[in-house]
Amino acid sequence: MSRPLLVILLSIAGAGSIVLALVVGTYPISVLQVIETIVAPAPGVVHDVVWQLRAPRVLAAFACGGLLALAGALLQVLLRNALADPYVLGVSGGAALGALVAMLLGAGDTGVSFLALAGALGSIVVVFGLTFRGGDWNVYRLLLTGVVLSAGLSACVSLILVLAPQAQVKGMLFWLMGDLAYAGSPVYAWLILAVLTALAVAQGIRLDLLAAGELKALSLGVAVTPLKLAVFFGAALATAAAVTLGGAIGFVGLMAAHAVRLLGVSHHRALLPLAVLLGGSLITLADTAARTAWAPQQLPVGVLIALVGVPAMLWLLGRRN
Amino acid sequence: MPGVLSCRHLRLQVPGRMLCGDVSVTFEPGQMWAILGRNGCGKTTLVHALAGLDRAAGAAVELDGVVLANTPRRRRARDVGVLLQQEETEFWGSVLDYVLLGRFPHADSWTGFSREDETRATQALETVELAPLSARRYVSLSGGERQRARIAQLLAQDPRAFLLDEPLQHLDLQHQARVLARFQQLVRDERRLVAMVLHDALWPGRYCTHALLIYDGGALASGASREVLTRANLERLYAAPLAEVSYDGGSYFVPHV
Repeated sequence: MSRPLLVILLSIAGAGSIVLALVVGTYPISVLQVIETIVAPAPGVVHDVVWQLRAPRVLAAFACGGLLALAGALLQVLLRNALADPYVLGVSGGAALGALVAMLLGAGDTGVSFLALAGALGSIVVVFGLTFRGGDWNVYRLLLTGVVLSAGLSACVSLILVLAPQAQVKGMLFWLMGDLAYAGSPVYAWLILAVLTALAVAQGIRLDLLAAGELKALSLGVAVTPLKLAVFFGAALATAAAVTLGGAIGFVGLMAAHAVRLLGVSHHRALLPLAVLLGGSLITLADTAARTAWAPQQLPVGVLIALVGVPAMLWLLGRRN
Repeated sequence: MPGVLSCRHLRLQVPGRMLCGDVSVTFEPGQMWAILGRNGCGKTTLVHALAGLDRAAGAAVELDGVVLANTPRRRRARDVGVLLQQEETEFWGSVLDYVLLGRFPHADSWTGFSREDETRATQALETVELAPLSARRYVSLSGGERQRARIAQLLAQDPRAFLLDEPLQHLDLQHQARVLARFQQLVRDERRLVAMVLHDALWPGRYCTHALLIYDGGALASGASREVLTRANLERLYAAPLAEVSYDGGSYFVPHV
């Protein structure tokens, strides 16, 4: 697929998924009404439902997907491993532990978000501290440290699930599968998404070079160590922001960048924003289905993402070039 | 436009092993060097040090009297280019995309690659006879074609000094000759410097003006080819008997078996 066509299609998908998510819900609102209240907000029930109930969650969903897609694409470059996803560094494990401890203590939504963020940042610091020595990184050690830390954290999470009172377990499982019901204000996430995407695109050619090999990048004049540090912290921050909003939503972070590559775009200047659009649209659509398909019962968005995303991805993989 | 690459008291070492305690050689523009030695003697380590890729080499390597490590990175990449022996990863894009990466030291990192960069990359692909494959995915190339794409990337980089680590690997005879002829042309017509690691006792005598032999134990011999590339030196270097072949007014060596 040509690049301009892909840009147009994914931009439409991004905007369309947001509008659709604002339209669909228990209270009936038409597409025209949604567009009207976006363009010229006027007080009324429609305005309140769109702006106060639906918009925060929809925008959180989109930001979450964009951040995970960005983090996954960046880590695939940093670790030069096609299987890298935002969670390989243990960031989600830390966030999960924080969130579950907060739920166990009976903290509200804000408390859950806060401890999830603290857990995520904590594991970033631990992974960085254990692996960055003498001004350089061995990416295998970085990867292994992340995997080992994740295993430890997931054991703690299992322990909490076993010991927690029955009434709290369902909420915990929802968080672990990815759930946007607890999402706080998406403003910071959008800010982080916009800034990180812009920075990453500006470094796009350097990322192409880093993906081609550290020594090659160095020989062509890239400051490899500072770039790797920036990629690590950028990806870690994006992941922390995403899991704080929506829990450990899987699949998108691993697959968004691969899907864009399979559609024929490999330059990071184009790949990164396209992956952000794809990831954002996917989670927005999945979350819309999650809160309406079985209403009033809500489904965890992470499960729906995988249910829709896995067949799509398998189709892309099976296509002949 | 000079471009004198020199090392003074350079130590070649890999973790846990000292290969050569003191390498002092001056490589001048208009010279084509062969770097010869047995496996594991430090040839690649030397190439990396000369290319400024080895931080430990530090102040021992100079370009036109300026310590290479102190030169801004992208300027260094315009001065010294290296063909690595191994690439660490697969590249997802097309062959042309791959060759274009070589233009990074010349490109504006904000606006990306220009028309001129694309022209240079295409020309480089024509030089190695890969132009018909330029739209193919890099990963779909054969081993020899990849090696030619890597050479094209270095030609597109267009540095003053070329350091080549086993440039002929995977290439068929015709392409070996073409690649060497292209580098010889750069040395003769544009007074570039070429220094290459070879594993062959035949090509150096044919194309190289100078040679650097790294013996086991770290002893060196360097100088003009006709003085250094003698049967006695090469038999000592490879610890193997050689036969001398006279051809076209020169003498060359092949393994005596």
